[in-house]
Amino acid sequence: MSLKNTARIPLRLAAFLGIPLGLLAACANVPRASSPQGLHAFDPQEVLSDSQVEINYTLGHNVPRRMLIEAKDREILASTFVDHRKLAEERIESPRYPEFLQKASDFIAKMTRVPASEGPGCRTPFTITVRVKASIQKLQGCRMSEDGGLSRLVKEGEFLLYSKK
Amino acid sequence: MRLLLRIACFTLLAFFATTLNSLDPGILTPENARVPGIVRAPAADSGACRNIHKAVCQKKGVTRDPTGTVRPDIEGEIQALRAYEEIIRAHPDWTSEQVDEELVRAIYTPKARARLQSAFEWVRKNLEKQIQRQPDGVFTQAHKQALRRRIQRTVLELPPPMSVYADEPELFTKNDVFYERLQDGRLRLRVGGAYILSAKSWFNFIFTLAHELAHAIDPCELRSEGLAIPAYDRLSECFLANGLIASREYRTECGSHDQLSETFADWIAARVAADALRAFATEFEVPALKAAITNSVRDLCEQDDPQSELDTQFHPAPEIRIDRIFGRNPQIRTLLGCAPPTGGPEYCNFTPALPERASRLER
Repeated sequence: MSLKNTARIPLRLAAFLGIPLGLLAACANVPRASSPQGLHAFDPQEVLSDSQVEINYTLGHNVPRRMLIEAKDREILASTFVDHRKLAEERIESPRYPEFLQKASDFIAKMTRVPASEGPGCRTPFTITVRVKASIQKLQGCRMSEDGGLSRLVKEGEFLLYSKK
Repeated sequence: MRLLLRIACFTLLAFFATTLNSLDPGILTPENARVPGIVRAPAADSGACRNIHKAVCQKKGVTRDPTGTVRPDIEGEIQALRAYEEIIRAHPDWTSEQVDEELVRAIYTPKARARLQSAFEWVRKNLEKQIQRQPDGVFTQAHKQALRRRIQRTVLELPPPMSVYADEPELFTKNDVFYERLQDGRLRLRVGGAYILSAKSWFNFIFTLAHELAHAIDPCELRSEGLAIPAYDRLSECFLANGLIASREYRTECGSHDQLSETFADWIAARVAADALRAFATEFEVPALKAAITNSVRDLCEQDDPQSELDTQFHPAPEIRIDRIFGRNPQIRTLLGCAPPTGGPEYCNFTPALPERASRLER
């Protein structure tokens, strides 16, 4: 069979298939809805269904700290630990939790663009992980090389935990 | 008769001063806590002298000296978080910033700030004197000037308003006290709110603030500023030789897994604390003196939790910090009534360069 023959597609069929195919292709290339920073925005329903924000960090002392907020089937559990000991744990009903997770995600995206600075060993390391279903973002960094964003995130998490809303 | 009345009045005043000390921890500075006229030389306690870490850390829970108490770190943090929760409950419509502002007012009271400021000023002046006292063979005039300048430039930042810690708002409920050098060259100390709730002992303030202020002149800070002081190199060698810095294959000096900065800060803090204890506590009763010494470093102990897992990447283990850096300081041992430790290396000190040392020996 010649190329010419196989390449012959009736115009009507082409029109019939081409327009929706073209639309599909166009839709696939449209950028996802973005948050103000131009970063990826999560669907709040997906966040409430299965997600997690975990922050591990050290301040001036050599004591590990951890904050964990998990959502499963719209139930949200927040807890904080110092030196592996649980300080607080609360169920929260927070319409603000998806917003908090988004901020954590934006923080990771922003920090990932900042080149790591050379210098002595970091005394205040942190790791932040954001998971929404199977999608995971993770960042390891040093508090001294960022402008307080992590601290504000931790504070906001504490406010969510204790205000429970 | 008048003389007898005066003696009686004086004795009663002294009695009430001592009673007030025990009833109202946290208010007093060492001047208020001193009971004039009573001087006791402590008897040596061979058990404690052999293992000062054990002597300091064996008692669990709250420890008390005439100037205040020290509680386990976790209790201070729990208390701070409870205060935070209460404010949120009392004002459910407040924003996070409004809650923080109220929390800061509750914790960083004028009295607490004044005590911290006075302790910080005492530490600053003492550290400057210690530098000035060193002979020219240890620090030249230029070295002394550079070191003093760094100490003077270091500011103790305390809220309110809460905006003072706007870039670290979580600190209001944390126990940490730390030194920071900012990218614009500013040097500062910050104090977590939970520390103010867990530590009320003036002697703990002295050791803690001296440790942090010492970081302004620690070997790694000076190196990052391009300052090289030979006496520091000799001191660092001594720390390594004496096992006060963990010798690790993967250690890089002033880099990862290096304890030099923290060991230096502890070593300086021990000297400053020793001066404070000598200045203020030698007129305490013996148990009070020992309590003051204990409370200086009480929060360096392992916390009362089997799950606790201290990271010794940058800080030496508590036993080394308390027993070998603090506990072997000759002044501390004298205050405790302990003889110098038998065997083992000499306690590290700033030393002049070798030729001058040799000539001093010859004389």
